[in-house]
Amino acid sequence: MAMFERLAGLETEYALRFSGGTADGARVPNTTLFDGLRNHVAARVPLVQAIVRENGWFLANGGGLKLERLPLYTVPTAGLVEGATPECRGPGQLLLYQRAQDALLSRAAAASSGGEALLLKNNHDGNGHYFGCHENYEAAVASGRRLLLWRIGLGLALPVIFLLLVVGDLAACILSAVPMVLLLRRRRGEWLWTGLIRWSLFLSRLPAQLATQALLGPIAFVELRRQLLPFLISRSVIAGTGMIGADGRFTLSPRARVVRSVCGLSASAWRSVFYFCHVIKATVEFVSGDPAPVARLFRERQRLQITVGDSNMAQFAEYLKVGTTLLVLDAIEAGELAGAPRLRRPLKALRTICADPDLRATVPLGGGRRWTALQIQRFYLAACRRCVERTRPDHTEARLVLRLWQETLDALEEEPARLVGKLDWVTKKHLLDCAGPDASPAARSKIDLRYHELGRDGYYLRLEAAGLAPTLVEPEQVLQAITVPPTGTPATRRGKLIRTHAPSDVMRASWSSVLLPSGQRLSL
Amino acid sequence: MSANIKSAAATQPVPEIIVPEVRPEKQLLEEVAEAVVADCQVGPDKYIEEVRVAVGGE
Repeated sequence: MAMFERLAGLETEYALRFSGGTADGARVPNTTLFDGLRNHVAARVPLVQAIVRENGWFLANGGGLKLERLPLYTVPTAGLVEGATPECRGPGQLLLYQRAQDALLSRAAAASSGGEALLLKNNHDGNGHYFGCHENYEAAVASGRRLLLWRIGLGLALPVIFLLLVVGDLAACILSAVPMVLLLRRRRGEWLWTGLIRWSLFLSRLPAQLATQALLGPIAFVELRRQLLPFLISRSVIAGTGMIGADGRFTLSPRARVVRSVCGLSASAWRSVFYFCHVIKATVEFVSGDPAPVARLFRERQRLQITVGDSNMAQFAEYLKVGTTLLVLDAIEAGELAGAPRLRRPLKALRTICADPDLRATVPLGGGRRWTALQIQRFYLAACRRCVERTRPDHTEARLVLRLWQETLDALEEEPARLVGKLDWVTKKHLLDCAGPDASPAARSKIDLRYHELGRDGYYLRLEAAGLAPTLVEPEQVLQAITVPPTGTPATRRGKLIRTHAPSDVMRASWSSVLLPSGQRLSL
Repeated sequence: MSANIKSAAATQPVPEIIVPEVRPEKQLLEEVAEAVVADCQVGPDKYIEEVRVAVGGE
């Protein structure tokens, strides 16, 4: 595959900050806020409902929108606004569509609530709840005999996975109904209710997850995962957004605190670096009337989902996060990284790296070596440079990413302060340092949160407005990307069909197909 | 649905990324940081409560 030609997309969960209330002082539920937001989006961009999800929508630029929340969980603060970019090619295009999504959704949230609701593009709140930013990259699931094994295994396993899911979800409904009645939706019991629902869903889906894991573990993306993992673990030094923990300590990445496994299928109870829940979701969608996602699972090239990253405010960091990951994937598929280092304890390494803002901590590799995160990053940078020189020395954007990557690693080593405004964790740490050790824990926590607010008072956006942080995409291009799909991806056709037929009560869309008002189904 | 929404350009060309040389001007950075530090002292507990998120799932 040519450089930067694979499909890529980002899913971002935004927290809703709500500063108003109803006449009786109650909080307006997030479901109501989301409905208002969606109506404002619809006034600007044609959209249609998703084929399967009740609260999911697709836009004329090819992207997706939904209210993400656990089933059965109905307290007012339940639910995150999730936006998904259309499928893009290359880091520049992906950055553009991510920024278009940020702009569209944040303005819709504010406009629909009279300014009482604002979005935060981050990964945690101030009460110990975490949520995600998922990266999706097209890659070969396997090749040769392993691919044949994957297809046979998948054909045999899918019916079993489906049966386990049905039985498990029934059990979860029963388990969750009891606390729901007992706690009568009172805030006092929120933590108990939350825990019960999370864990009953986790446990009830465990058999299906174990069955899927048994299939995926030894077959899917095996070599790619091995070669990519040390890069992802050390990538927090450029792509982390920083966080103040309850203990007052600074960590490079909030996600590093909650990742518990390398591969996984549960996003809320047992988070992972690589996430394969789309296999289970495809099974559910097949039964709900959309066979296309299951058909995609049998293809050689399919979606690899990475869930160890943070939601970046800095355009520079977001561009570098996606650009370096795409380069590493290209280098792996070009055979340039067969000798990639092996981390001995990857999750411990992630926590060690993220706990050290001085970037001096070393982590153990195979063969008895110990490297810092910067050394690991430099290894991958060198491999990607060789790959670009060998395959596409004239590729302008690849050369740009290589240059920015090199300069960033140099600056981290020599003078991290040069990266204020460019890397989120460096910028946030600078603001926290300015507040000083005497600032109260709550004030420091407010810096941590409001840094991510998508409004003129958000701390990062204040820096950007003052010209202290570089913007990489032009506002006019962002404006256009809100309504127009990218070129040459499945989103192009999806977006055009939505523009042609919306508004429509009967038209539906998904990532793999579109159901036209005539009843005709088109694969994308 | 307004007409101008429907008649927008068909697809978005790939953007050319240009990274401007931004060297944070020290005094301006200090001014913004001071404003942030002043703001973070105002009702931080209320702010944290306003962004309370119940579990959403991913």
